Amino acid sequence: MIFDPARIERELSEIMVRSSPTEARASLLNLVVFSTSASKAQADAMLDAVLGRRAARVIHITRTDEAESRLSISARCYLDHSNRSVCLQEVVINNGRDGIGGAVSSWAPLLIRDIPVYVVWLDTICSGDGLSSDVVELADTLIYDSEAALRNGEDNRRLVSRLAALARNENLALCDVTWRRVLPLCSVTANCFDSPHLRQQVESISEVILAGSPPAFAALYLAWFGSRIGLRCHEDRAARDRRTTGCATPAEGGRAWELRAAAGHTVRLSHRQHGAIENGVLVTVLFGGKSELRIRASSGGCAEVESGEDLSTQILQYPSDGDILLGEIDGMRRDHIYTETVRSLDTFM
Amino acid sequence: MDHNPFREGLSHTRRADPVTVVIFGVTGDLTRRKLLPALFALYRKGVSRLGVIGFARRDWQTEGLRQRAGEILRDAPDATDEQRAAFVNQLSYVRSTFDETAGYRELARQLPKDGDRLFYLSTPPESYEAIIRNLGEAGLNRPGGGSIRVVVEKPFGRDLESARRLNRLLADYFDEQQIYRIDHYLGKETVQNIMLLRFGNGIFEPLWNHRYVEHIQITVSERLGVEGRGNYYDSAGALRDMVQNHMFQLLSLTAMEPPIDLQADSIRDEKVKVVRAIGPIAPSELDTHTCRGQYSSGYSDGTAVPGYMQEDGVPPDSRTETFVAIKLFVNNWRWSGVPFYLRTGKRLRRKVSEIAVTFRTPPLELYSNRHPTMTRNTLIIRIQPEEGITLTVNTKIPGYTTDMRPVNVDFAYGSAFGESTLEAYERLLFDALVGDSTLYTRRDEIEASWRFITQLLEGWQNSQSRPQLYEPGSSGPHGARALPGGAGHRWRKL
Repeated sequence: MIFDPARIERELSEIMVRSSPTEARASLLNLVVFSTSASKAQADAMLDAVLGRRAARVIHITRTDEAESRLSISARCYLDHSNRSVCLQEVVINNGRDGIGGAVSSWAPLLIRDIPVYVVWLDTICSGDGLSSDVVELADTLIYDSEAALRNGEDNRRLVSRLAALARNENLALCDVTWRRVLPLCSVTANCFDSPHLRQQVESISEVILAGSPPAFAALYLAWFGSRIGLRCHEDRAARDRRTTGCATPAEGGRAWELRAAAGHTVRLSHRQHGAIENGVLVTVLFGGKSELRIRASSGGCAEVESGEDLSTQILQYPSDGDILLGEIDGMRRDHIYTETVRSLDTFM
Repeated sequence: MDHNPFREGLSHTRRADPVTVVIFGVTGDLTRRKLLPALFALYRKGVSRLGVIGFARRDWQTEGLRQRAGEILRDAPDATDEQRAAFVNQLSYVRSTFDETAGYRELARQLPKDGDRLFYLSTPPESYEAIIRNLGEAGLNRPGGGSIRVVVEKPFGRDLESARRLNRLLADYFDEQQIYRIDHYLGKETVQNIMLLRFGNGIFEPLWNHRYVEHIQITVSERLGVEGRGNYYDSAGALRDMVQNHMFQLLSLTAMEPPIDLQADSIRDEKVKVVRAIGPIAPSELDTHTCRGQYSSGYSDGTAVPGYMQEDGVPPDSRTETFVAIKLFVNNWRWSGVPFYLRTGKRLRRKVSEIAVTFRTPPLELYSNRHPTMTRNTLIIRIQPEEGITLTVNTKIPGYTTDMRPVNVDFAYGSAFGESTLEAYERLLFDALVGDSTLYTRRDEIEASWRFITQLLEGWQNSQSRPQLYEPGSSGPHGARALPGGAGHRWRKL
């Protein structure tokens, strides 16, 4: 099919009538998914979560090595509890080497106006063509996976800078899939500090060690932890103005940062032993070398918390990509804690 | 450090502690239709440390209760046999009358020592006193290892005096924070959506007052008759059965001021102010401000149906109303002079629950072909069926003239979401389990509503008049039509 928006709209309407013998629900959102051949499976898994639950127009653009771009349309409808159709109208574009399929003029006219635009970006963010300003302009919410971006060879420092710049855009809500997986661990950590005994020791925290988990997960968790307790850099204003990289003092070959607590002492945040979160994560918080808090998270849905003599269990469940997308669609909010975390990360690294 | 620096910005998941729910009157219809399905749904959603003890007179044993529960839950959607079996195995039964102290001793024996306790009074109101007193006398009202809450079903009293007596009795044994007076209307998503619509949008609230609103209609109509509940219904009537609770909740949510926050008492403080501000209807105003009706025999869905007085359990000379319409005023700064029309009834044309806010006409009528009532902008909040919101606006008819006609800007609440909304009882039970009383009625709210209702009941009683008859499938008695007529208003068509 050729990239003719009027014709595409007409044919979509015809398909909808055929696919939905009962009354169809109005589309609630536009979902534009950018993927590559490598990330297409992740994109499909996310879309499956929306299927039959939220009426949406999906424009799925996959970057491929084919010479020419191609486009196909379809509609998938499911009956809901009140016997009305919940339909995904799908425009599937294979963006070939000619680049026509990815051009903004090919897909943007297909967005339904006046309903939110969610962009799922599963392509490179900084390197190559990267995330374009057109996409940022059209998106109300931008969903991406910083861990996948690092895995695809993006430069860590550039990625963080770009995300920090995106976080400054007040018209855009950001959803980092990796951050959404970090949040359950943050919640367990926060629950631990509901205890007055541990809360009194917050100012004596001297080191936080995260063992296990991939690098982006660890960086976000440690930056969140540091920003929550107000860690700052060891530098004066002149030094801050001179530097071009992060202000934290690197240690352990760049896998640890040394920062300054409000009380003046140094706090070390470090990441050891890269690995998948499913293989387990251990957080150790040291309080001036006197006592420890340990959070041992497994993939089994719970975390063991050990503080002094006390041992307890908390629920910890990492959400799936589909759950994250569905939650984001329904949530429609700017996550200011993520914004602060990314800014801290940009400052520290 | 006073506050937890890690807590900010993280979502707070409400979790129920281990709890035992004691259902008094477990053999009744409410348990079968609502309570057990709701508890099972909560169990499947993670309230897994949930025990249920049924308490009733019938000669059942624990096995009998479990077997019946299994049958009730057989059709629960998406449930597995394992889930059903695990839930049913947490049920047990105490056979006792409600005034038998031995039954409460047995209950105390079966209750776990630790964890929360929720006592659910799902019995006829005549049994409330015995249950509350015996719970108190057995010491089951005193928190031990966990919290103790009591849920009281409607009807909560039958006039101001009986409601006060029940409140005093409850207060003798429980703190107000432990008492949950349930009105299942508040568990409906669309009822909760009234506050969200008003206070979550910027465009409505500036217009939501006497300067822009001409009148408000609240309708809760049913197609069915008393359906075998004649005995109960005849002692209640539409005013007690619907207006004092469900319709006053809709009225409060529609007319209340914005709360300072979303805490339970902040919301309930504002709701009770509305009920207190309702102007009393003097005996001399009863005929112009109220209308009672009673359905006659006739046809419904092509089938002959009996009149109310021919229903089982209804005395042949009954004066109980099956329809009531009321014109009232909320005498506060915001609503001064704006009539609120409430109507509810059985065997009416259509099953409808809705709130319709009709706005004033523009100050200057530039377009001469205005219909006297149809062209007023109206915002309709539909609670059922087809939950949603409709705003009628006037628009130009295409052509050479400036003729206009009303069109609907329609939002179907369900259109946005392809999944079913929570059952009201599931939501309300969960709130009671986690100690959130926002969607429950407070003591002063109950008493304020009964104060108004009791005046009407006494006025009707003294007038010796009878309810007007109306045909099944109609919109109510003829007399009701005149109620809004004086001000040039009319009821929305059913």
